[in-house]
Amino acid sequence: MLLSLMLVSVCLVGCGEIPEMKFASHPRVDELMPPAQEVVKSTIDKHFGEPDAIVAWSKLPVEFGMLEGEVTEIKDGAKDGQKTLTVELDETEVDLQGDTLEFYREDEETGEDVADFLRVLSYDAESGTLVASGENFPEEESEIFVGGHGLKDGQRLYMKHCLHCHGVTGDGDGPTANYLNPKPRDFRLGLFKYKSTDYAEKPSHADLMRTLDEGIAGTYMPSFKLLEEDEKKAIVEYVRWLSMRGEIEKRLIDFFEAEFSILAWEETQEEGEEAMEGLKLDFQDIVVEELPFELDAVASQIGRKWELADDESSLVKPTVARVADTQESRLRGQKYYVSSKCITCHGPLGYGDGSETETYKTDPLTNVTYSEPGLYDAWGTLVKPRNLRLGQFRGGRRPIDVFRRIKGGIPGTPMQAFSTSLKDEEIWDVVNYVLSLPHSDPAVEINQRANLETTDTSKSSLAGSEGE
Amino acid sequence: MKKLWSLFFIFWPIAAIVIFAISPSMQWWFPGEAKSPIGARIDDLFYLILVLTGVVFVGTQVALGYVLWRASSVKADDKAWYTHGNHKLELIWTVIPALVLLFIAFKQMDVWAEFRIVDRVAEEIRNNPVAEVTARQFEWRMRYPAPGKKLGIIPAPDDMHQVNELVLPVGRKVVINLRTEDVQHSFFAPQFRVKQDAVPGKMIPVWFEVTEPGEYDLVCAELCGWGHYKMRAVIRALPEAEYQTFLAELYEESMSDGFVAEGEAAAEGEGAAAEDSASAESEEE
Amino acid sequence: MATIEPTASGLSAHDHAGHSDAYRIGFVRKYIFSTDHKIIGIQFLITTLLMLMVGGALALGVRWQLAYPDSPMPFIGPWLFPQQGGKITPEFYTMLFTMHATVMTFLVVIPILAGAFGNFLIPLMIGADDMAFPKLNMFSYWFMWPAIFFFGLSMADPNAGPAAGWTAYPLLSALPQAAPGSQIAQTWWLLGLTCVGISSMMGSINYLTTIINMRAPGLTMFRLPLTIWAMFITAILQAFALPVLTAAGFMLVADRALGTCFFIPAGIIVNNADPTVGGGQPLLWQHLFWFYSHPAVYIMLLPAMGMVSDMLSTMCRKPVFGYRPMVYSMITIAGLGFIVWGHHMFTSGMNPMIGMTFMVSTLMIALPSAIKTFNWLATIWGGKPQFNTVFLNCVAFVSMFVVGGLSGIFMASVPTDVYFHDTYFIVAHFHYILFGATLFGVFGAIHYWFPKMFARKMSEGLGQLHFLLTFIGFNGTFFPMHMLGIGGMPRRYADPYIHPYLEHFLPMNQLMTWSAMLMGFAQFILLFNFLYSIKFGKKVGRNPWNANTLEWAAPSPPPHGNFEQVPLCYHGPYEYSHPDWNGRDYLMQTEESMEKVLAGQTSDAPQKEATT
Repeated sequence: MLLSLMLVSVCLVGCGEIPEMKFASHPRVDELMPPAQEVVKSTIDKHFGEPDAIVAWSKLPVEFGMLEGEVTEIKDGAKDGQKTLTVELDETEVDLQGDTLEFYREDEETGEDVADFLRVLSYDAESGTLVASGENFPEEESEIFVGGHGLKDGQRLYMKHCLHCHGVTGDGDGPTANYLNPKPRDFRLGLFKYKSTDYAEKPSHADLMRTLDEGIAGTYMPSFKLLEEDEKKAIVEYVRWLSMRGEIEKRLIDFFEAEFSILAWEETQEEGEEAMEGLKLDFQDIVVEELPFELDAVASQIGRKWELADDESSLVKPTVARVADTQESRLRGQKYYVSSKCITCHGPLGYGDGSETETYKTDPLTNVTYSEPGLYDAWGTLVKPRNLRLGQFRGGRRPIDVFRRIKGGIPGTPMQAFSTSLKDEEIWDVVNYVLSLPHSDPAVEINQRANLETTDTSKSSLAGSEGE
Repeated sequence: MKKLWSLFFIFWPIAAIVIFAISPSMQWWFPGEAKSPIGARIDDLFYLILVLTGVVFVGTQVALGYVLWRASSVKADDKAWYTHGNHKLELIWTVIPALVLLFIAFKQMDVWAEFRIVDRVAEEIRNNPVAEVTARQFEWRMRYPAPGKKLGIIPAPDDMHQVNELVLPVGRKVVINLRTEDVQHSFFAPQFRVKQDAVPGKMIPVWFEVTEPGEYDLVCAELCGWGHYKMRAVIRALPEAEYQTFLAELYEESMSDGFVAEGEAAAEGEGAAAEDSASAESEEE
Repeated sequence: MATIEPTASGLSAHDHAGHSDAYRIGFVRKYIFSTDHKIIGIQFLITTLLMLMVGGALALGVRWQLAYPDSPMPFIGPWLFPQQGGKITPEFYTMLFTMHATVMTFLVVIPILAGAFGNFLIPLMIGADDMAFPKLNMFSYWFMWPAIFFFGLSMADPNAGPAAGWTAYPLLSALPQAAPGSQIAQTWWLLGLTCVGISSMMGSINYLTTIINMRAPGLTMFRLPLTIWAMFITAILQAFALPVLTAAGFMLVADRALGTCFFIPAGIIVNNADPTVGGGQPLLWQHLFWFYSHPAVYIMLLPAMGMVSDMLSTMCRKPVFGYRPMVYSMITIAGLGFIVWGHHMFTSGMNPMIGMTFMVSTLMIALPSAIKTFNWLATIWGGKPQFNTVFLNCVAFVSMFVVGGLSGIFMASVPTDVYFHDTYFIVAHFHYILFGATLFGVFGAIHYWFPKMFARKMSEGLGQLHFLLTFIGFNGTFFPMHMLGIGGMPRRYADPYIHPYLEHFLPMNQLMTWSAMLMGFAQFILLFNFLYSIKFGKKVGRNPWNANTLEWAAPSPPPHGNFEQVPLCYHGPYEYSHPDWNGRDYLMQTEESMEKVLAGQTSDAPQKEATT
């Protein structure tokens, strides 16, 4: 009896149905009309796949481990929807099982070339044959891209180390995310706060690497310094891919939103059958005629931005060396701190309690006024301006880090870039002032300002009066 | 059946002893030899107790096996031994363990004193902690004084910071100040056999000496939340000269202003740029 | 030896025979809101056995995660975490081990010893008709249910269950922002703890009163069976230590809910909440908690020690070796138990000088334990045991207790404890004591007293099979933990293998998990055996083991009021195999002398039946 009981239990343990991990669609998809929802979902699914079945899309600057080559021969496979392809690839000794094969075929309706994907079921390196499954198959002698294994490690490590907070989709909504403050980053907007590139640029590989290495002080993002170098690289690559996936999804939603929202759908429904047919036809046209180009354009654009981020020209660099950290420099810095309106958010003494934290803001997307006063970020969450006296610098505490925060701003937050409004020398002065804040006595500072007020009646009186 | 059961109770201690005996060769043992003098003394004490308890373990289990074996061969009409006890015997097995336990107690006092009693550390070392280790959910943040300066209780502007990496010199006793930013953590360096809780609101000095250069583990040994297991850090032990170089380099890195003077190679990576600019800065001063 | 020494206690000396005949009450009052100590005892037993299953299931969850940290957890994984492929989250893991420990200590081990066996045995073994305060007794059982309810509520909290471990060290447990499980779940948990405390407190007051006042005539303190002595000492421990924990629990609830700061120092920022205002001291909780929880270890062990002494003596047909030293060593353990709590805090940063004091007292507490072990060995020595389930479990108790006791020496010695503190070595140690010793004792006791509860015997074959599988599974699970501990693997790690120096322990952990599963499944045999035997077990008379103590003089199952007549007690409980006796090797406490028994001239009628 016991043995059978054990056997049954072992079976139950071994054969329990395990749900597959799935990427979640962006909630904004639901604001589209149902056919548009379908199209967005299927397009994203086709070009990105699921966590355990990643699609390698050659448009994206991600290290899929992509191999280029040519199909030389096609035979029917053992089952329907499977074929055996003989291929010539630029490298052969790679395990391609589970990768995707990308090729271009002429679309029946438009006659344009569109990308299509096959899943590689098995690959024999010696004979150069692979079994692949899919709906459409390439013609002989057409160009192909095979890849995807390059992200597998990253995917595995992401699931092990990052998933709890950032979620399967990279939407910052993992199971642990709920109670964290600040919330884990949602990569899907393609915005990253702490980076060394210009305000509008993506983060470089080195930036994401540095975030992994150093963690983000004062948040639940810990340091992953002790992972192997190639492990960290793999995670960075996977995060970049997740971010591209999210951003392209968002752009597709934007693309349809104006004309094909759920509201338009409902209104047309009220207008009657005919109008409905018209809407559906319009939609069909757009999907066939414009969507492939739009997708292409969006992917190229986003891909180029990510590529550009690693370019030297995107780096925020000081044109002058740090201004010596003297009392005068700090006082100048304090002056700019006031005149450049740092004070409105970070507060007169740097406690992060500026007047802006008391005003009501409106959501730029919906034009609805937030119920809580204060500053909001691009993700719609209330953010506190940094308390500069804590000595915690999330983006790094080196002078160059603080310099970059000021000159390059923090994308997605009300912290704008000061690259045009302040000269580099002036930014250094502000850096010196900000870095001195955790170590200075606020009471002394108030006295100093009072003194300044009595001796200097020109600009610095502004600092004094606002500082009180 | 009775004999089988007796053998069963004899078999398992034998298995236990065999497992203990083969454990060191199977790597089921300490994570390497102790790399600190105090760790070596703790290991010695461990082996002493292991031998003593091993003897008692074997003794009692053999006795148990023996009495069971004897009991299993009792015939049906035999009578059990009628006794209510034996004072002399009981006195013996009270006094002997007492002496052994007292022996262990006295034997370890000095090791414990060496480990925790503050007088055992020279005042010079005690007043010059090499680093402050702050545990937080879920990482270790280190703060070092700038080269040539003393580590203050309150952070100084030129302090140097590192995450999840503690660099220490080899061959001299060092003191680190242990703190926690949030909940309770515990500083556990298994290769040094050193463990000390980091208690909220307290700063606790910990001292030990690393005998060999190398990379050692630093983990958290007190439940600190869901990411408790994630608190992995490394202690890098360097010979004195390299240690000083490291401090100097860390200082330059932490003061980096990222400025690359004209004429110097601009296309270099960020790290290189930082170094360059740091040297440029020192020239200015 | 065989002289009558009736005590002045007249409390139980009214007529019971008539009482039980006239006693007719409804089903609800008889079996549910019962004031009868036997029903309450059986209620406790069944509840705690159910909780044992719950706690075991939680433990298997813990073990699964340690063996297969990257795989989906069977059953609950896909159900609770479908979006991440069934892999559990780290905070769910912290909930699992927190609740495993909580359920096992507060809902299994403590109530199964004091609640189930204490209730069932104390009046029977001292010849009383019931507890001194039957209503209080009923409440003590029914206060278990709010506790179960609160613990269940805290587990079911959607944010995550309590995550601070069963020790609930602040600040993790004190600040709601410190962990998802420290939000409302921790408050529920503390309320549950308070209810358990109230339940135990009512029980212990009752036991003390009953044992002191209601012993049968002739039953002097030094004629009490060791089980009763153990229950008595346990009750004292509970009565004195528990208020401290309850107070500490209330202080922690106040810190969480009312804004006090007993345990919270100033200026702590967790999860970017406002800094704490503070002024408290987290170490205070540790002192208060361990001031209860160290004696609690003995609360969880002493009754098992007592029961095993009784069972060994009966099974070996031999008096307990050194009855008085056994009693004195239990008293010593209890006394020293109050001054050793600091050994849980050697690494906490308290004054190292105090550490030395605690170290000495802790080493000294090993002494009475050693005496007891040697006395058990001597009890078996020259005995004539039957090698049945009861005996095997008792031998396993002794054997496992030796391991647990000896591994305790490493922990008592401060420098080695510094290394072993919060590693798997300590996990191995206390499981050898709490499972290896206590639960094997309990398994033995279930088989031993089952005939008294239901007038049937449990199946011997299933019993031995259960013992064998449990013993193998137990050692397979917990023995390797010593190695993990020596290897420096800290406990409470959801995924230890991200640390390279622990990677090679994965196969060992998998072996342990499979052993744990074997052990888990073995408990179904016990459950089946228990339920099956209630209805279909072999019928037996009132004294199936030919034992001496008073409970065997009562009918099986004992009616309301227990004894037909007030039992008179003539001598100690361990008169077995006297060399002068012929024909019978035991003399019950109610029997004056062997001559009278053989001549059929005993004054009490029931004793004739007892021998059938």
